[in-house]
Amino acid sequence: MTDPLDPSATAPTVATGPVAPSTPDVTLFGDGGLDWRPVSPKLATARFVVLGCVAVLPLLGALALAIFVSAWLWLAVAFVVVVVGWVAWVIGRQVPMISWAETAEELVIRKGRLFRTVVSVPYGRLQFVDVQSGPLARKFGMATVELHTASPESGGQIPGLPTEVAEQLRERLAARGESQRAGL
Amino acid sequence: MTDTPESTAPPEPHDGGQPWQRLHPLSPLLRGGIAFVAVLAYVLSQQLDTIFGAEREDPTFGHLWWAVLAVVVVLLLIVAGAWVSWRFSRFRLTPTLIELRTGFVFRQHRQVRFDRIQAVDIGRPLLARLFGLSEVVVQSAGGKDSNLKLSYLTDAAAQRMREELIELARHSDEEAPHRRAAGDAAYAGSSQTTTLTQPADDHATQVLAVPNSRIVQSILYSGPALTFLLAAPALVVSLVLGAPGMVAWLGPMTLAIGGGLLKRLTKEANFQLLHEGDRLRIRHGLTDIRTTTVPLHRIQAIEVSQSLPWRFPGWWRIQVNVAGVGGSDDDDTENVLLPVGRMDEALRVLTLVRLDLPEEAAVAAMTGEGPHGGFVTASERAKPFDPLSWRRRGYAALPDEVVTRRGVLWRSVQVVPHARIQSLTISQGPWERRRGVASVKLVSTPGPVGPAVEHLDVEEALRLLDEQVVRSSEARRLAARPA
Repeated sequence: MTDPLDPSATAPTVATGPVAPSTPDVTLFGDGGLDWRPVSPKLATARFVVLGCVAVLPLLGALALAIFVSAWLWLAVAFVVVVVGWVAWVIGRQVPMISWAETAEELVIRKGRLFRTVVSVPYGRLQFVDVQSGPLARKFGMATVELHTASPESGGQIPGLPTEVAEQLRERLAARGESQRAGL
Repeated sequence: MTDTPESTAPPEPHDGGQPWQRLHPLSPLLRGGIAFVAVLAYVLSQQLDTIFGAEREDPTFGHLWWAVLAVVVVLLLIVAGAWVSWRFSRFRLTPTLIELRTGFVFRQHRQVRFDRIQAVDIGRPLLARLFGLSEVVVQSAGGKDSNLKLSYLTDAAAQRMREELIELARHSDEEAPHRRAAGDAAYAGSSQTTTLTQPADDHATQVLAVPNSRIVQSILYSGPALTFLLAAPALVVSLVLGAPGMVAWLGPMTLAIGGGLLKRLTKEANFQLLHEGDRLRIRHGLTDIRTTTVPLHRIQAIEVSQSLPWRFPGWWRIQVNVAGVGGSDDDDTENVLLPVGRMDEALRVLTLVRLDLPEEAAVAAMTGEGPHGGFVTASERAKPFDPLSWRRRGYAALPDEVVTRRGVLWRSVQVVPHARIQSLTISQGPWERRRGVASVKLVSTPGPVGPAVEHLDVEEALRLLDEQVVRSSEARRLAARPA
């Protein structure tokens, strides 16, 4: 590489220069020596809000039916409550498991508890980086960083980053993507 | 209107581009108008008898001449529309890109930069072939609808255009060496040796041609063909016996499968693979002869596969991922380098695309199992997931590429150059976690080839991810360095 990394754009936690295979390894569980960073816990709150909005109609509908039509329909109410409770439980367990780490060569995103995935996107493969935030996410001061490579299935997504972290990450990724860019 | 169509276009800076050129005057008619004319002619020929025949039964109720006038006006309108469409379609080459303007009411201006050209095809649909015309399709890496089509030019002009475009694309690649592909000996080597002013077909050497008899056989040796051979007699029997219930579902099924087989036959017939400097040329088609040119260094991933019925004749099929080409189911033959071939032919194509792929590694990948040939395979822990193929499922990291292989009954092998891996994914479900295995996916650009190693031991999967990141970035760095 001829271009040095822009020092102002480099995070203090990231080692520069090529990585020897003996540097901290990516692991499915635990930190393995990498600086895994969690997403904002407010992401769970935001998802609870969405869940609440989605659940309120079926719940009211089932309640109305149970009260005015047949007592048997209390079963439907119970069903809705169980489903909502289960989804809430899954959200509560999943959000803390979303974490990401930057190494010298790649951005790694880990997700999921029961079904685990690790996505590794090399900086040199980045085509562009999106930072999005909807009204709800903005209310919580969060944004989603989406990575796009030349393949639509390979992009990673980090939801629920605090806005300033997301902006900094986008700038770092842009700088590294530029300096390590390779053709298709 | 004056004779300078440029006056209708926004002013262009004088960038040394070539003057605007027009397509062949017959193009608009061939593109659609001719269908209308044919319908009209058919209707007229049906009516001639009733109009001028013995039993005069005037369908126009005495307004015959008005009807004739209307027909003439419609015809004139079609011709005028075609003429306007032709007047307003023009293309030109500038030093950096090719641009095409079309449309009178809804104007479209499409341009493709030379350094974004992935492949240049020539297509010859049946009707155009009658008039000696071809279309040039410029494929760029911009998703589904990002092709620029010059339809139609005369055969010779189309050939010249393709040669020129490929040459320009290659030049712009050389001017931007950081775009150059990694470890691509074929590309780096030939860029100095090939002359820059290449005439048309003469330099191409034929790598192989697949006899049509083998294409027919290979299509018969497939699941759909077997179903067809069972369903067609069943359909006939149920027609004869008069079982409408059976016909209702057998009929459409037979037609659909038969249509699919026929389509495959018309696409793969007359298959020829030619090699010319740093690019491959694929020619195929029964009625619609297509010529696709793929620069070797634009190939992102290669797959060699063999279905169960093809085991017995020992046939293999080779498909590739090229950014921007294929992807949709409709034209997936553009990605086929070898529709059906013997082992030696498959190896010849493989080593042509990946010059540095050792043959023994390729053979081990195609037919072998276990660690022979440098393969890291799934262990016994993967047995519940792959009772048959766990010994075969695995990968080998060669100096320039990763080779993944899978399948015992349906064998397939994928080859991806290190520098071409877009990203890596490891996934593990609950059942996989209990067995201590995980699946790795090496993501390539969209296309038929999806390299992946499933159910590796967790430690091996993580090691593959860690090491591959280093290997890939090394390869990209090497590629970025000007040679």
